[in-house]
Amino acid sequence: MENPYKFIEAEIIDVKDETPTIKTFVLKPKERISFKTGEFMEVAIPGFGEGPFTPSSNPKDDTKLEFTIMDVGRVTGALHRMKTGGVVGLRGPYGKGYPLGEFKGKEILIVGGGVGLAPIRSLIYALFNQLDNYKKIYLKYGAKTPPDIMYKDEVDRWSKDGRSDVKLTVDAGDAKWKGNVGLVTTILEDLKIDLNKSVSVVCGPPIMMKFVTFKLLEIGYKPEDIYLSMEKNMSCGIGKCGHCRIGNSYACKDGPVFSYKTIKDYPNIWD
Amino acid sequence: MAREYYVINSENFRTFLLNLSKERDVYAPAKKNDFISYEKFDPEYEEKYIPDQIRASEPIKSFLTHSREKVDTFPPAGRGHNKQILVGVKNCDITSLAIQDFVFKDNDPKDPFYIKMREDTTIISCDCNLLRETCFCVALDITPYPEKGFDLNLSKEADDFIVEVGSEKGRNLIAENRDLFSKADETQIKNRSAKRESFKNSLKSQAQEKETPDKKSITGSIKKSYAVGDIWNHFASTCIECGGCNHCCPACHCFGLSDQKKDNIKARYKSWDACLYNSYARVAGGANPRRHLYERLRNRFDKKFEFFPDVLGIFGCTGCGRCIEACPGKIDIREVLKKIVQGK
Repeated sequence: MENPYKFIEAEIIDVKDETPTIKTFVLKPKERISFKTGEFMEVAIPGFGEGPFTPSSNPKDDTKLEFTIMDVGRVTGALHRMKTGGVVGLRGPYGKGYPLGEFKGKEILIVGGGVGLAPIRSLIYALFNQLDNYKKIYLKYGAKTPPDIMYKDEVDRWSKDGRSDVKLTVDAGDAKWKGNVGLVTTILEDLKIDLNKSVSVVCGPPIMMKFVTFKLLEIGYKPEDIYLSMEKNMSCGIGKCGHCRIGNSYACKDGPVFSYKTIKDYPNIWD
Repeated sequence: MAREYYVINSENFRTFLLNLSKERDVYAPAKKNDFISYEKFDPEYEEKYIPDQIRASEPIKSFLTHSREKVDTFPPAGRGHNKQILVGVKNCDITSLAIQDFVFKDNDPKDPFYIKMREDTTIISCDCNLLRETCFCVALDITPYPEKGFDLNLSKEADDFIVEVGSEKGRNLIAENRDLFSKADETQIKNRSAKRESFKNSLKSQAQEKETPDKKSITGSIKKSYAVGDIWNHFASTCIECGGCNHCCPACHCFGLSDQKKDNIKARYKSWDACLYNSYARVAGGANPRRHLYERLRNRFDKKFEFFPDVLGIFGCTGCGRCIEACPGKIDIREVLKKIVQGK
């Protein structure tokens, strides 16, 4: 019988600084691991601790995986101190990712906040892999300040690609910043999207997801067309340990991507 | 399958346990002050074991999962176990196995540690015949005697036990000790039914006296309680988040995984966790979906009386009453349910 608590070792083959607090780790697992965009994995520092992260890389590449991680606590802090050549553990992938089948033929509005762009990067790769399937991709991304903007080169590249429409905003600008200043909801005005043929995807801190969801509902998105990445304490990853329960489902099995419709009636979902 | 019944007298029963203990670890309830708790069967003290009466202090899950266990490799390195027989298990515990099995055995990916312990455990259950103030199984439509989920079941009848066979495993135990058992007759089985009925009625009277709400009225009541003022704050006012209610509960299954390093040896542990703890739902960076104690207490009830009915069709509570006895804050699950159902 397989042991679901055991991880596969993976070597860190590169570490990239994204922002002062965010790094991308490129991992080469000892066994090939393939994932669907939006599924997550448990990343462990053997003998120290483990946490759930969604790969930020292209799901087409099963030889390596990338995780973009912000230093916010004990395990993420220790990961940030790891260097190329270090070894981590991986379990998964777990959960349900983005339902790309539902996205076919539609315009896709992606709203990201802060480090929430990590799973979105993987989603954008996945959408670009089969771009004919989708009408158009809109990315609306908000960061705290200009240095906090992640994946700057890629965001630039996506901006120049005619098939995607990218708009950025920062909560507070600086001398060099020429773009929009304000919360991400301020760049959701004047959308020229046919709402009947569109889905929206939101990933960011809980408070941002709450206000973006309300904004999207106000704009006219139906609850079933809003997809949220719910941040919960997904500890075992396999629906057993109990921690990540949202109402009558577990984020680790039924999520972490949920349509707003499936969770909206549960109490306190935004906390 | 026609039910099979035997009779064993008390002297033969002790021989039976002695025989069983030769090849397996036998655990049986024994009196300890005001409580009954499991002890490993030792023939020298054969007088002290009480298979009947009431459930032991420990929930049955403590024989199937360890409060802390190493899970790096399966089978676990350096930790073997003997096959075990649990004697005198009561129906509140047997019913709770539906929850533990659902979580660890029946849903993919399965937990091999639990499954191995489950396979290596034989259950010789027993009807309850002692009423404790905290018992309320019947309010939840659970009987004080098991009808399934056991290998053998005992019903005390004067100095004898009427033994019902519940599985092939149980049948084999009788076959191995056939000369200790005689066939039960109709009258004995009828007497058993009468005793069961009368004991169930005394539990019913207790539940009525205490106005413990029934299964039907509890169903859906927690969901509604979210809108009722500060009702949960009131219940939580004496909670000290010790997690005692979680750990003694036969249906609570939550655990945490932790990685540790000692003398340069790295190990991964799976340990019982408690949803009353502040750290339970906390995520990286410190955000906590249930940062208030009342939210955590409410969550415990929500999981038991909303989540499990929805996903499995049964309550995550079997009315064993252990949490009532364990709680230093004197939070009585029956009182909470009563007020929730009344909406005040």
